[in-house]
Amino acid sequence: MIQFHDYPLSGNCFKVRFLLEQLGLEYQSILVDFYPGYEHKSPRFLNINPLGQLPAIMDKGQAVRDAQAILVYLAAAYDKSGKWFPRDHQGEVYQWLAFADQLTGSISAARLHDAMFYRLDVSKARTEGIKLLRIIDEHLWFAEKDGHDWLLPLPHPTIADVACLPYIALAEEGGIDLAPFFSVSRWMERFMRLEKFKPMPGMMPLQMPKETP
Amino acid sequence: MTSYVVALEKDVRDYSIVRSMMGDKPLVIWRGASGAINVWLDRCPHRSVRLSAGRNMGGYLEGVYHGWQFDESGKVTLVPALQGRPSHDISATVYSTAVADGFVWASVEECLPTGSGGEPCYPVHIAAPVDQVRLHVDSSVDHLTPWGVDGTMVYPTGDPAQRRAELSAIRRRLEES
Ligand SMILES: N[C@@H](CCC(=O)N[C@@H](CS)C(=O)NCC(=O)O)C(=O)O
Ligand code: FES
Repeated sequence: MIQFHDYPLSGNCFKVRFLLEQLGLEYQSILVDFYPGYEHKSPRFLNINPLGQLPAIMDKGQAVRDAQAILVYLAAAYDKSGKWFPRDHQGEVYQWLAFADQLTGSISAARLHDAMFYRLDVSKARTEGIKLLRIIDEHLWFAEKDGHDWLLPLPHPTIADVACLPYIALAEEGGIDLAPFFSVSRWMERFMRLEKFKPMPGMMPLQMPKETP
Repeated sequence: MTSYVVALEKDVRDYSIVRSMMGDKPLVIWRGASGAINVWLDRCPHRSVRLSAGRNMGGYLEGVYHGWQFDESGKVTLVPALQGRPSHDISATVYSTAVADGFVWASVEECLPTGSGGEPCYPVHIAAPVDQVRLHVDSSVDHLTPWGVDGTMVYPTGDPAQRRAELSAIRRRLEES
């Protein structure tokens, strides 16, 4: 069974948990006390990921680290439909996966500063986060105009959406106001209406009414 | 009093909520079961929580915190803590609103939309006060709404691809100066 090293307040862990559940995979969740325990820097965990970062998984005796790498790994190995990782759109998929890691480096950093008292240049992190939000907001506006609901021009979400969602949905915990990003807000709402979507702490708490807009 | 564009009409969908700003006022915008669009101050009269964090149930808007229900006129029609009784003397702050040329307009007084130059396109937020932005855009084509004290939302019209490039350049110039 897949072992998933998980921390419920981590947006990067959210990505992995979301896909595991969408794919209906059985997994064992191993909780790592990230804050205040710093257990991701413990010898036990460094053995699994020498970078001391969450998330990581163990599958068939092999460790895979990095949320984006795990999304690709799981989708390639277990998604027979090919929908989550559409092979004929690989360039776009990788582009958004890299973008997602930049969201971690900016919005998530601002959130770690505000919520977990990390010491870093928070105004620089927010400025960078806003720059990224403008890019994705604009992309989504033009996608919607062409009749597409998701980052890729396909009638369903992919791992690109999964990778980009959590730190955007958590941006306000890092002091970044999402109100000016109209298209991003609509995309988040669509995502949160997906079947089996479970919000993590800090994401919109209420179940939306069933009717989809 | 001045009327402002606060959203694109097509973006205000059933069972959904739009957040916006009109000057220093945060807004919650929602389309009710009647089909009409409501523009309110985004503050719950109960504990000041954002109403936009709640949900649009069609016939009413529900506060996220304690489940207060507001009908389309802004009146509180149900308070769970009062065993479901209404509380008609409490109301959301409702603004006068109108729809014109695909834009949603609002005003703290009577809302009077002015004409515009065509199809709404991509709204652009600029981190510069509205007086400065006005020097760079043609306000017969683009509607300008102050967004907080030092920001502006530009609601342009015209060909999106072309306008996007133009407005990004203006934004860069204003934000970097
Ligand atoms: N590129 C990695 C970044 C993971 C990451 O930053 N994880 C955070 C928790 S959400 C972490 O473990 N930070 C501790 C550190 O970087 O030392 C990924 O996408 O998984
Ligand atoms: S704050 Fe709105 S219901 Fe209590």
